[in-house]
Formats: sequence, C-alpha cells, structure tokens
Amino acid sequence: MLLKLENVRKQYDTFCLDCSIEVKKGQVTGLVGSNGAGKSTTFKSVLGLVFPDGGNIEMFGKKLCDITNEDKESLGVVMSEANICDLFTAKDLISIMKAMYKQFSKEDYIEKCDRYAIPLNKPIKEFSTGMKAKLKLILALSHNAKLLILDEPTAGLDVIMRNELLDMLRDYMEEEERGILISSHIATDLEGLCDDIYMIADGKIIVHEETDVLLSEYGVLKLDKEQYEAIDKQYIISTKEEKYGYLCLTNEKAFYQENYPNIAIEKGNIDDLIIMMANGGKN
Amino acid sequence: MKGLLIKDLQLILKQKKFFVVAIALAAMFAFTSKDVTFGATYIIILLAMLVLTTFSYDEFNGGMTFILSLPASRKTYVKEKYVFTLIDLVAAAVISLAICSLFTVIQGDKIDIPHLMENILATTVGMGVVLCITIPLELKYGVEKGRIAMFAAVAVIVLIGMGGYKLLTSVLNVDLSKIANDVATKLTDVGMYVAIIAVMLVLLLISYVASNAVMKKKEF
Repeated sequence: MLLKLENVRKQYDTFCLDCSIEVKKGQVTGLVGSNGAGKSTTFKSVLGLVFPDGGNIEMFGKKLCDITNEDKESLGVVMSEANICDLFTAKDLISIMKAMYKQFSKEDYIEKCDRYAIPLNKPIKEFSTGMKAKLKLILALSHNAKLLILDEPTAGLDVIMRNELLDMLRDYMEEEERGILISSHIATDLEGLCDDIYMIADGKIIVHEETDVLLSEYGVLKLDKEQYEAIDKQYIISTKEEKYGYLCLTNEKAFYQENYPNIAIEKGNIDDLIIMMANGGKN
Repeated sequence: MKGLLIKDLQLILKQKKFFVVAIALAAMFAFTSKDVTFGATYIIILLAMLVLTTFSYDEFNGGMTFILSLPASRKTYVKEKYVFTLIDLVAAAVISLAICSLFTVIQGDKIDIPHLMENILATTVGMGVVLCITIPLELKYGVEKGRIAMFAAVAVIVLIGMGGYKLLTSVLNVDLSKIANDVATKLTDVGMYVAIIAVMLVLLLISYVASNAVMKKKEF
C-alpha cells in the first residue's frame, strides 16, 4: 500500500471532511467531486499542509507524522495552487532538484523538457499555462518517485496538452511499484487513466468503484413520471427530477435493461456521477 | 536544506540590477559625503533586507505549498532561513567592508578601520535584531501583515525599554550610565565585539525557537 487514509477528519466552519482512501502499488486512483467537495483538503492533509482533527494517514507504510525528508524523496507532487517561483528558469531548477533528491536525473529532466518543448533558459513567468503545468509534472517525474499526488494537473490545458500530460503519466506507470492519486474535473482524463475512482461530495466519499465497473455497470435511466412510479428502485442510487420526468443513476444497468426494455438508459460516466451525486446522492 | 539554500541564493542573484544600483548609490554616498560609514550602513541594510524578500517570493502564488511538497519539512524550512540569515549578515558585513575600503583607497584617504568596523558591526547586529523580530512575525502573519506586526513589535519594545529605563533611573535610582561605563571599561574592544555577537546569537536562537513554534501550527 502506498497511501492509506482512514477516516481522516478536518472540520472547518461550514465544512467537514471525513474520508477514507487507499492507493495501491501499480494503481492509478482518481478522486472526483465538484468544486468545494473536499478534494484539495484531502490532498493537503496527505501532504501535511493542514492538520486533520482525527483519523490516520499512512504513506509508504509509515504514519504521516513519521515521514522523513528522505521518505518524501519518493513522493512527486503537483498541486494546482502550488507554483514554482516564476523568476527561475527550468535550468535554475536543476541545481535545486539535484540538492533535494538523490535520484534526480538531470539527463532525464533535460530530455523531457526538450521533448515537451519546455525552454531551459526562459523565466517561468514567460511560460504559458500549459508550459507551467508540463514543467510541474516533469519535476514530479524527475526523481523516480514511488507515489504521485496530482491535484488537477490538467487544469486549464487544451486537449492536446492534456493528452501529452496523460501520456507522461502512462509512461510513468510502466513500473509496477508505482502509484498515482489524481484529481481532475475533466472526467474523460480520469476514465482513460484510473484503475479506480473515489467520488467525494460534501467532504464524504460517497462512491468508490473500479473504473471498468463504473463504465460498464453504471447508467442513467431517463424516465417519465409513469415509468418512474412503476420501476423497482432498489438499484437506484440517485434521482434527479427534470422537466420531463426523472433522471436516475443506477449501479445495475443490466437489471433495468433486462427487466424494463422500453426505458432509455445511457451508459454511465464520471460526469453523470458527479452531476447525479452532487447533493450527496440523495434520492 | 542544501536545496533550499541554493533556491534562496539563486533568488537573490536574480536581482542583479538591485546590486548594481545599491553599489552605485553607496559609491555616490562615499564620494559626496567623504565618509564611507554611511555607505557601509546603507549596503548592510539593503543586503540584510534581502532575507525578507525571499519570504515574499516563497509566499507568493502558492510557493509555500510547493516548497513543503519537496523533501523539506517545516523544521528544515525554518532552519534554512536562519542559516541563510547568518550567511547573509556575514556576507553583508564583509561586502560592506570591502566596498567601503575600496572607495576610501580610490579617494586616496587613509582607512579608519576601527571606526569602519565599529560601524559595520553595529549595523549588522542592528539588522540582525530586526530580522530576529521580523522572521517569526512574517511566518505567522504573512509578509504584508508581518511587516506591520514588526513595526508594532518594535514600538512595544521601545516603550518597554523607555518604561524600564524610567523605572530603574527615576524610581529605583539605579545609575545605568555608571553601569554601562563600568562594563565598557572592564571589557576590551575585542571582548565587547564578542559580547555583542554572543547576544546577537542568543537573540537568533530565541527567534528560531519562536519561528519553529509558529510553523508547527501553521496551515497552508
């Protein structure tokens, strides 16, 4: 196990985080949820940037309070709100990273900067949003980290740059001992990358499912009022009233396909999950 | 810690224009006033304040979140800042001495080394005290509010000092100037320098402990 959060609680004035998450070796775990759902607080708790009020966090089999600077060398982090001082150039960062990480590979870093068109001698303040995002990820990948913690690494990027970043992550995961915890508000990024997905709403984990299961067994039923009254609701996990009737999220799409062949069923995806579960999955 | 020191050193070296202007102004003061001590003071103040600019850069745009996600604990961060402060103060004193000596030689004057050294030591220690007060306050309140808090803290210290002086001299009838003279006559020049530097180091230690306590509780 690379990372384990067990009932991690953090209370703010009007918000309470209470979540349990696991990231296993060889797996990419996604964390999805709407804005303010608790994703960043979860990441900050893992990184020791905020102090949870309760629960346990274990990283690399050690309690978070026992994690040393040496342990942190096995961690690569990209936080959307964390930025490198923009006076530096990508070249300036080499000496800093070399002093920070024993396994920092200068050659690999320069090769990646070259491959992803990151200029070495230009100040970061002159970079585009995409270049900054790529540099942050290249840095996180430059020192043979075992675990990547990525909070919205693709935020603000166009589809080409997002694909480049996702390719970098796929290359990284070629070694089995590694793992990733990633959040993104772009569902398709996670669908193509993650092995399992946690859905967080109002600080609570309300769904944890393997991505394959989510895509194959979840679905959205589109029902008029009569159909809605008539169907068996035991596999409906969330309902939303619409002008024409009801949208119902199910985790047993096949059950409704077999028993109610006349109703319209859409294949489930993460966006549906976020929309349908936005209020904590209340029926 | 080495990585953080390199980061701060690089940040300072990025401000080349600042150094050129600082040295040019120091030269101007030296040539116009015929007294290099003002230039020496000026150079030390500017160089010492560079420590605080590194806090501004660290804090700006989520920089602290980035730094603390590196293999650098909160304790390491604080330790690095104080090591950097010491290096900066020593470098400021040496650079000031070198530049002022050079200007004096260029002007063809004789260098009054003891006078220059006294001035440099006093300014360096003074700036050290300012940094000792400012660093924990900037860590607690952030750069902008921290500076305001620093002025407030200095005002409080001055008021306490004045109150204490009044209490000792007027109420308790203690002759402070006699005590100061006694100490000064008993100590040699070198002894005085050592005593001042020792007091400075104790203040740095107190400030370091306070900064650690602030960082231990701070959330980002």
